[in-house]
Amino acid sequence: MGNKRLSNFATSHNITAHPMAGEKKKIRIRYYATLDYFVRQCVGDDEYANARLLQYHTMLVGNEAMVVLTNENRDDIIRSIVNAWFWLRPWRWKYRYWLLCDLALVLLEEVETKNAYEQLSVLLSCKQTSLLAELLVILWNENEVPARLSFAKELINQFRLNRRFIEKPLTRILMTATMSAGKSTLINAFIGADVLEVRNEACTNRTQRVFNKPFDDGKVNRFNDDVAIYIEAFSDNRFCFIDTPGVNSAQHPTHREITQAEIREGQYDVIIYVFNARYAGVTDDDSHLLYVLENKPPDLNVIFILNQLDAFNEDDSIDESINKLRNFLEEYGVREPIICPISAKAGRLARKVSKGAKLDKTEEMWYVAFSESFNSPNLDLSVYYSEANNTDEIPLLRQCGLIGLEKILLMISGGTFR
Amino acid sequence: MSQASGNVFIKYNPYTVETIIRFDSFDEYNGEEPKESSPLHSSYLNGYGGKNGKRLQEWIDRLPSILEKSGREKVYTITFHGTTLDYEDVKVVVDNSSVIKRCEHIQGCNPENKIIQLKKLYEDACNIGFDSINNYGAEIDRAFQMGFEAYVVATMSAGKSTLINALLGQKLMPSKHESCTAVVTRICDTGVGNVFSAHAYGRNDDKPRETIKELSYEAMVRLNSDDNITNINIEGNIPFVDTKGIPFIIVDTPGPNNSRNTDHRAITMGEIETGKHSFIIFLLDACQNGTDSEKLLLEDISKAMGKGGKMSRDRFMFVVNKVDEFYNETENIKSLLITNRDGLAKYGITDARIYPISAAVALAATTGLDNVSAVDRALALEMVTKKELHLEKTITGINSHIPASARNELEKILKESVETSNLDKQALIHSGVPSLRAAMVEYIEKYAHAMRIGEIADKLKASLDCAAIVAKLNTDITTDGKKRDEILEAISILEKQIKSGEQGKAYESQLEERIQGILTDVKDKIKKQEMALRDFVREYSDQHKENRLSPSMARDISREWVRCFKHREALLKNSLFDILDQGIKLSAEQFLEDYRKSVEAIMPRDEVGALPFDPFSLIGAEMTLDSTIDSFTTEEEKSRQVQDGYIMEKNPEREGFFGFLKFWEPWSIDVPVYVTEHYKEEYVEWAEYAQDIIGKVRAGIVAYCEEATKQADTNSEKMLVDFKNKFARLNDKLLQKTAELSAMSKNDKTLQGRIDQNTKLVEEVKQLEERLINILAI
Repeated sequence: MGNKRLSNFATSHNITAHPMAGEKKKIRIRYYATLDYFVRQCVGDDEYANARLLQYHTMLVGNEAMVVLTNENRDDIIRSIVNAWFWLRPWRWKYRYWLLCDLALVLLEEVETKNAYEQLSVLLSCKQTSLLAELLVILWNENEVPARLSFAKELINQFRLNRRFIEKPLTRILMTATMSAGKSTLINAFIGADVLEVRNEACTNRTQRVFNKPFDDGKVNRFNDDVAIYIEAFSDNRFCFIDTPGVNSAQHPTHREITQAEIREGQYDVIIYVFNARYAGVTDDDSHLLYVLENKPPDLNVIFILNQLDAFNEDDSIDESINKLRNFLEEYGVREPIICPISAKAGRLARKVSKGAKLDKTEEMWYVAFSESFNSPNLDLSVYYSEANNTDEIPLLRQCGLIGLEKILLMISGGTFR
Repeated sequence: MSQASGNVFIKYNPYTVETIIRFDSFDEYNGEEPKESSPLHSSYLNGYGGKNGKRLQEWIDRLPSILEKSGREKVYTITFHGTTLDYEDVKVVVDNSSVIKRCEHIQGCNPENKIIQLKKLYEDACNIGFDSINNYGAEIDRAFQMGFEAYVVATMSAGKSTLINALLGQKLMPSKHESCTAVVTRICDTGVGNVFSAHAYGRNDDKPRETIKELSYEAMVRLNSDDNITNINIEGNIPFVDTKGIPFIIVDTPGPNNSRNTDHRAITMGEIETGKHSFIIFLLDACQNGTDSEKLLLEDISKAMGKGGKMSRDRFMFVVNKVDEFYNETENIKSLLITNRDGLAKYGITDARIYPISAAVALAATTGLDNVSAVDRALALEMVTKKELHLEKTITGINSHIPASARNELEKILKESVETSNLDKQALIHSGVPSLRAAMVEYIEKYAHAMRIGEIADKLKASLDCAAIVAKLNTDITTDGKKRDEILEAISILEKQIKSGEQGKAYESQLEERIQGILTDVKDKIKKQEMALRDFVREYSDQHKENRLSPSMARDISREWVRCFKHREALLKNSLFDILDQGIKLSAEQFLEDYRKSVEAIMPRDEVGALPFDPFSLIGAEMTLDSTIDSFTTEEEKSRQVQDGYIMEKNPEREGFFGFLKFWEPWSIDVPVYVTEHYKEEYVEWAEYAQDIIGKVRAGIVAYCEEATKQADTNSEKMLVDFKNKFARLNDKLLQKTAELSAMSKNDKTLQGRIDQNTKLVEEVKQLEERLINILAI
């Protein structure tokens, strides 16, 4: 996946309030046909663009019959939208501005948008072309949107958000673990929704990427196994979580190879190594750990996560487990390992609650149980994080270690860690 | 009997292991016997001379195909006369067969109370008091007391201690130390009381190092973390397991990676292979974590399950724990179990009985949901609320059969507890543990009970037979003058022989010769084992021919090797136990038996007692396979291109006039700069490293076999001394017996009294024999 496509994938689009939505059916369909035509002209059959277009299709066309562009009717249809025979229907002059905004949102790249603009200008008069060029400049600068373009302000702002977002550096986090350590649950906890399938065995058999988006458009972008979604906790920076298959599956020995290849050849900036606290220190684990330590780029941060601490009770000592893991890691030459004790399971529920999502009956029950158990001083995980502040409205979010972990990741991406 | 055509009558007595089959009949007195060539012929099913009879479960699943092949009829019906549990097995076969239309059951005697009846019979016999029952006493006592063992084997962190705790109904086994304990714990069900007591033993200890009257969790934690403790024997009441007279024992064995010695591993493997008085609970983690670590044990199980029909399959219960924790909406429990089943199938284990459970919920429910942590309570409540988590349902498991009576009982309890909103009980039943327990009890009742009843009855019968012979001898000597003279003649010759000691000496030297012979044989076998093991090692060392491996790869392979060699070591120990046990002990006993036979006319059998032979004392050596990888690791200088920042260059796009107009193109662009970076890569010279491990293994094998040979020598010496003692004791007894017989034959005024006494004894023995037959009847 090219870098360009990738950033296009991880953008937000909220077109529910699109100005064209209120137009007549015939016009909507023609508008869509035009948009579709220019996108195809610029990027051809591109999957991300297709996904974007599908959103427009749903909004503008819906279940109606689509007009087919032929060599004969194409110019007429396009002109009816962009050029609008100014003298016949002067109120339609805004269409081409919206169209250019939509094209920018779909294409995202400056070069391609320019390309579309140039093709568009063939159909326009000189004056119209130069006026439209102004919009092009505005899309790529940060100035106040002039009053005469205020009818497209919403779309311009959306585009600017996306553009600014993709200009930020991307922090790629490789997540790896032996089986069932709870990687997927952890990612779902970051998000606060069950975007990744959580399965125990064979499920994650491919490397899956999860990107965060610049703002919440209420949608999950999916492509093959990859996902882009708005993650509130990380919205200030660009993140990509690379979820690798669990390596300890007896039935799927290929998982190990896939993961090892990703560690060897993949591009990433941080590694999150998830241990299942129940199995931490079990010998099967260390061959993979060794592989990670030997094959990761030197000087790359590894964050060791001790997950599933919800399975612990009063008899178990978290301190002891952390120390054991620390000694274990130091034996393998990791100096001063960063160990984050968490419960992804509790975190997922707490995040859901904080996002206002509805919990089902059993989730509710678990939420109550976790709130109680993590509230006890024995299990409160926030004490292991110096950065976790105490102002959060949902104590469990902090007590299960999720906030502390997120803070660490944010500091790493911002370059302020250590 | 036209309506009987096509009906097959089967009568099966699990106590005596006798089967009667009749074609075209509803009872054993009519109809036609199977042909001699048929696998249903009595000589095949019942063996010869009442020994080696085949259990119903060993052949019943082949019945439809046998009937089909015989071609007598197109369809059959079956009338089965036997116990309920056996009938259930017949029913399953019939239900899955197209050849057999239906089956009917003639209720036989179920094994309930039979052991208790036998005990009563034995007590009565003791009260009457005749020599042979006293002589057999120790053996019969042992048969009564011998427990039935459930070996709990688990993959790493599958929750073995939680399961055992759930079975015990209280928290005793420490879970924290699960992964590092090297202690073998045996928990024996006494059926009474509600506290457990414990004896802790060190390696090679005869006496307990520590005895705890009221065992607590804390004490168990302490004992488990004590390096000097290797065995803990616990006694107490294991609730809800009523095994009706056979002590039930749960054996907790350490995992493969953490055993400080391989002895108990060898014992577990021996049990898997041949255990007559045990079954195996193989506990798996729902997510299959670490099945690889038990790969070798699973392969053994697969082999053992392949032999001997349904019974040997029934011996292994695969229990999948934590299904509730790993379950989620995207898949149901069944599919989770199917993954487990497929995982087992990889090792050749098909037809596994798989029981899903949640040990944590069971333990929480027994403790009372009000007394457990919020999380445990939530776990239990989730199980109660979610229908798909009701693990007691048959459809949930795979081949997870439990007897109909137990199922009804569980359903009844569940219904009651729903009505009274008793969440504890509901959670307990849904946890699947009561179903597992029912399956365990079923196995014990079906196999262990029947077998044990048979064994005890055999011994009782032998002692009664013996008493009858003695009584007859006494009658003869007191009443029949001719017989008396003959016997007295034989006695005087025997007395002379014993007193002169010549024959004894001859026997002794023969014995010595024989033991020497066995010893050579044993050493030969050890040598052969050694060679086999060497071949095995060589095969292994040929597997990897790579020159260089990364340290992690090398570590991986070497770990796999060590695991494999440790397993082979346990196998070797196992076979050495066998060689020494079978070779020396049995042969020597056989020899003694021969001698005994030569004087059988006077003394039918005598108690000699078991030989003090302990296979545990056999093993001294332990393979050491620690090979440090570091000394074989070499660093190599390598280089690669890495990016080292950017330099700014003029953008070629903006060159020329048109380029100047392209305002969207930047004036300058970043061009990455690459530099060559040198770095070190570690690798292991595999050949050298492998050589080192192999060398150590070889040395281990040699040392081990030397030790075993040495042990065999000392053992046989000890045994010879022991036999000489026994020999002397036997002769003393003989002399005593001859004196008694001489006294008996004296024709004096007490004669009539002796005759009366004898007649009474004969009558009593006869009555006892009849009672015994009644108990054993189906």
